Amino acid sequence: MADVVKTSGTLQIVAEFVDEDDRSITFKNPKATITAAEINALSSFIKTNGILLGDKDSADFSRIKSAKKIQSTVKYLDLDS
Amino acid sequence: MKMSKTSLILTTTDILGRKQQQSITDVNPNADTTALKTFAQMCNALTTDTYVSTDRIDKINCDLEAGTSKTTPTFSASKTTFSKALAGQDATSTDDGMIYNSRWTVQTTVTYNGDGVLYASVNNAIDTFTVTYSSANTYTVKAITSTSTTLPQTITIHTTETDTYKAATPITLTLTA
Repeated sequence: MADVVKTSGTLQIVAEFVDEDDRSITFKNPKATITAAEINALSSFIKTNGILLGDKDSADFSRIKSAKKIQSTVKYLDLDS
Repeated sequence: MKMSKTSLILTTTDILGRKQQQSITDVNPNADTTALKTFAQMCNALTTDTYVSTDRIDKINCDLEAGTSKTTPTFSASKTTFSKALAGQDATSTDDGMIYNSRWTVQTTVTYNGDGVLYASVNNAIDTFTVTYSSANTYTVKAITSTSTTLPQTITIHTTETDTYKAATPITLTLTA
């Protein structure tokens, strides 16, 4: 049996609050293509509707500071060959 | 005042049909439920999962609520407006048509799923208010403050305890200059 390779990805979004604190939200199974427009639309929605609050003093959400896709590849080595 | 945040649980199915659950923390407990659902769907749209449902977690403190079977109601205020009479003019109540001298009006939309009575007090004194049932679990609370124009003033919205529901933690709105 040959080596088995599995890849998986996560999307990590960092939300920034007006007190300059930030919090991360991580999602599994991100789409292959995620545009800046989609992230910016999410950021606007969170801000307009008061969805998230900061951790230290429940500060208001300021913006999505960064969004990154993290890909990990795991290779299961075939120990029998 | 530090509000206690709440969480969402986003339930989805992945491309292999497996049920997935994602917890999203740092959520504003006063956020509108429909907006929370839209937010969860927008987040899910960035993934290859299929959206199933969103739950908001209602935090129950086991120490404070020990030994009781009463439900804690969901109680929050949003869309609050403050208006005041302009200098040289009196504030007019749109409810009874009366003219009040130097008064402030606060109007807020309160979401409340309990069955107790809603009432408002200004600076801890029961003052003139109206509560109008708008739609399911939603009320418009309008409070006219006292004749004093000393600021800040605190408007507190309370509920009463019933056989089924505890009294909700009061909501405090502060009126400043």
